[in-house]
Amino acid sequence: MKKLGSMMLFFICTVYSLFAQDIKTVKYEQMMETIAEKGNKLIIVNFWATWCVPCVEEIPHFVSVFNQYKIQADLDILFVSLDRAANLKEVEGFVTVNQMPGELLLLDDAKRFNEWIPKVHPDWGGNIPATAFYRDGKLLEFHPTALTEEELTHIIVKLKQS
Amino acid sequence: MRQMKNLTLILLLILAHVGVKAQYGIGDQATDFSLQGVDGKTISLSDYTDAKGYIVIFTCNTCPFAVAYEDRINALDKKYKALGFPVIAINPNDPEVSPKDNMAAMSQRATDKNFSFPYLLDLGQEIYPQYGALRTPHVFVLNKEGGQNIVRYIGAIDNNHEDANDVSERYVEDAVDALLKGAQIKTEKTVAIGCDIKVKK
Repeated sequence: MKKLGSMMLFFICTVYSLFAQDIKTVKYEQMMETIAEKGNKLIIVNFWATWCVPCVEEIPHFVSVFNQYKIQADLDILFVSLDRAANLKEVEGFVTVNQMPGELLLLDDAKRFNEWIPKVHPDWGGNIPATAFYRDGKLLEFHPTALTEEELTHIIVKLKQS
Repeated sequence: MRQMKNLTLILLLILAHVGVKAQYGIGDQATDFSLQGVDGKTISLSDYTDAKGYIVIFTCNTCPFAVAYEDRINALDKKYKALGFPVIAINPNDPEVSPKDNMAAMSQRATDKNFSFPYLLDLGQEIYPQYGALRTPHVFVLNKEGGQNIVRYIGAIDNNHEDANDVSERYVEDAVDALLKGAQIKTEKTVAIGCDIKVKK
């Protein structure tokens, strides 16, 4: 009986995960661990929020460029939402509609903004969108502005390992 | 003659570029301005002859962070105007790019929220780049020193935009309190997440 119960649970979880985008709510340290775990893939980290108009505008470009280059440039992508944790449902809706690939985090670390923003990059004023490129947990480039499809492609081509 | 024209153009471009790049640091002298407010009057820092300094806040109607801080900005003005540090709010967004930030919408917002401070529009977007405002809300605390307005704090209002009741660091209040006492400001610069400024296309 117990076995059946756990099988049911497993089944429900599997089915659920097929339909729901899994967004992890994290603090800064967990976000950095997630980046480091990607090892020597080139990883794009995009800071965004549903309330940020230029972020929402650039995300479809990120999705299409990522899908185009993920294999040939050995890419991974991490979308870090800076929405309030209370707005998780809204974030989930946006992520599903836009078919956002890669890993999805909600950085719920509002009270420590002044601590972790300079750790991401000393010149970052906290304005979003902002995009960082990492490999082996090391920051390669940081752009605290919106990126066009061309700009993003250019950076990926430049940073990919031949 | 044409060369002259080209040279002038290049010089202008360089100047424009420098203008955009410039960003005040602590101890820099801040520029005065003449900007129109929601009541139709044009306001300058120099109008406040009795002020000891100013709390200049770049903010707007449309950013959820700015909206979350409206009551706290009102409270700052109520507390510090009497002590010689009035709040001067400036909306840096281009009203064509962001129509909900136009003068009529600002006026409505100021009435709805009973703003006790002037709410000015940086029409032409010449002031915010000189200050180096990057987002809304972005605060610059100025202190009058020898007839000049010196930048003494740059950054966020406090450390919790989400919940005014769960704030543990009140950066702007601490900075102004220190200036009033003639003491050293503990935290002179902070960064925070905010909305970017909507620049004229």
